[in-house]
Amino acid sequence: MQKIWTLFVKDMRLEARQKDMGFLMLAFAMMETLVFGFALDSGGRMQTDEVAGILWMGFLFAGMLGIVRLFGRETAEDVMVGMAMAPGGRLPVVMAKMAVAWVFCAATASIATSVDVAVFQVPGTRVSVIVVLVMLLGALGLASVGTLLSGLSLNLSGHEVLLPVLTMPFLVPVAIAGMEATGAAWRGGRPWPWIHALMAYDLIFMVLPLLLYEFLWEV
Amino acid sequence: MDRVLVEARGLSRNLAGRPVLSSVSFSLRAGRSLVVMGANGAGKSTLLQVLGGILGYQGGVLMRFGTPACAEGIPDGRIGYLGHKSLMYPNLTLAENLQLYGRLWRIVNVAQRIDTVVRRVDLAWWQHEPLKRYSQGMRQRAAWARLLLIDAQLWLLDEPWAGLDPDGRQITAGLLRDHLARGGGAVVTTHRWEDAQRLGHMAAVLESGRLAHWRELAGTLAAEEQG
Repeated sequence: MQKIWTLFVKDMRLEARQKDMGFLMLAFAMMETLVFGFALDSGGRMQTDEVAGILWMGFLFAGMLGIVRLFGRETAEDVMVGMAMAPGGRLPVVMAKMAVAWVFCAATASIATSVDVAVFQVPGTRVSVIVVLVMLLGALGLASVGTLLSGLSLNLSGHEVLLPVLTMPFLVPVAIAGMEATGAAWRGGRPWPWIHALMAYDLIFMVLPLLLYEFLWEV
Repeated sequence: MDRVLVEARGLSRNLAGRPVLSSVSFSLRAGRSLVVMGANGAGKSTLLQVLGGILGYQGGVLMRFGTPACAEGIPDGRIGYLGHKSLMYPNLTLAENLQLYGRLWRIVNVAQRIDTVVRRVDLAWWQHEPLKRYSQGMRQRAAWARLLLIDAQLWLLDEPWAGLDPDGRQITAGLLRDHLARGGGAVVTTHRWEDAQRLGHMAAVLESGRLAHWRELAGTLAAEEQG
């Protein structure tokens, strides 16, 4: 746990100094909301399902921007090798990266949700704990899939171009379940089947990196 | 000094389907250094990475500190690796990078240790500058500082004098000499026969995936130790 925490704090410190991951994700999510806000200006409230779609599309693409840069700071000077050689093994290195990705995705999701609710006038009473839960689960799905694929594709040429292409098909289930659950929660429907689907998906992609993390150093 | 730090018996490793190491065998005792020479692409760096557990191996036996090392490649905190890169974050200062390594290796009195190691590599004045402002030679010295900080028993040095000026080469040669005198061991790769003669106890050439042309050395380093 100490190694995970040390590496997590280090990434936070680097982000505070460089502002090249969280800021980028947030900026993209905000721009997407504003563009859709102007483009779909209907003079009144939009359907909650449409807002959920806009929110999740922006969130996934913003998350992708962050995921692409997740291991970017380590590549220039082979820092991953140094981190992996430290006592405690390699697994904490992957876990710390996943935690960092989750924090940034969750923060982006939270802010993007608040802004979307305000811009598209989603009734405030329906911005419930359930929506927060859905966004956190969606962030976890994005972070776990993204960390695994970002690590696996790290040494491939054209990593930054290839990664979104590799990752997007794996995120389609997250997007569908997230959109459906968010829309259902906002309109007072039944979000739980979709939330359970998100939980199952997250579980699978949290376990997979634990099984495959050794390959990250071999590819 | 009779303790064997690392022993390889018939070690093999393929990369991209091509055998890079095939049947590499040697043993290294405490206080001794092995210099591995060889042409570009001969597999010198791969050998060090396999010994350090950065990469796994596919055949043979690898013993580190008297215990078998896992074939999948498991790093060991008692091994220090100096590669072609500094293994440090360019946007952090040298002191911050060393603090990070100090925390990961759970080094006590880390601030004091950092102060000592940056002085030893003559980077005390630069320790609060981000690494991205360092020249190639200074980065190499910074990498040596990292190696000194973690106080590893076995050093794996991949062309450790690349980019260093004569002063830096002399400093780091002294560091290696002190490390060996304290009972540490080192496997060093270099292209320069003069370095091998000066700093190694044994030298071998990595050729077709095997260590060949073994030679015992009694160069300057050994003479200095005896002196």
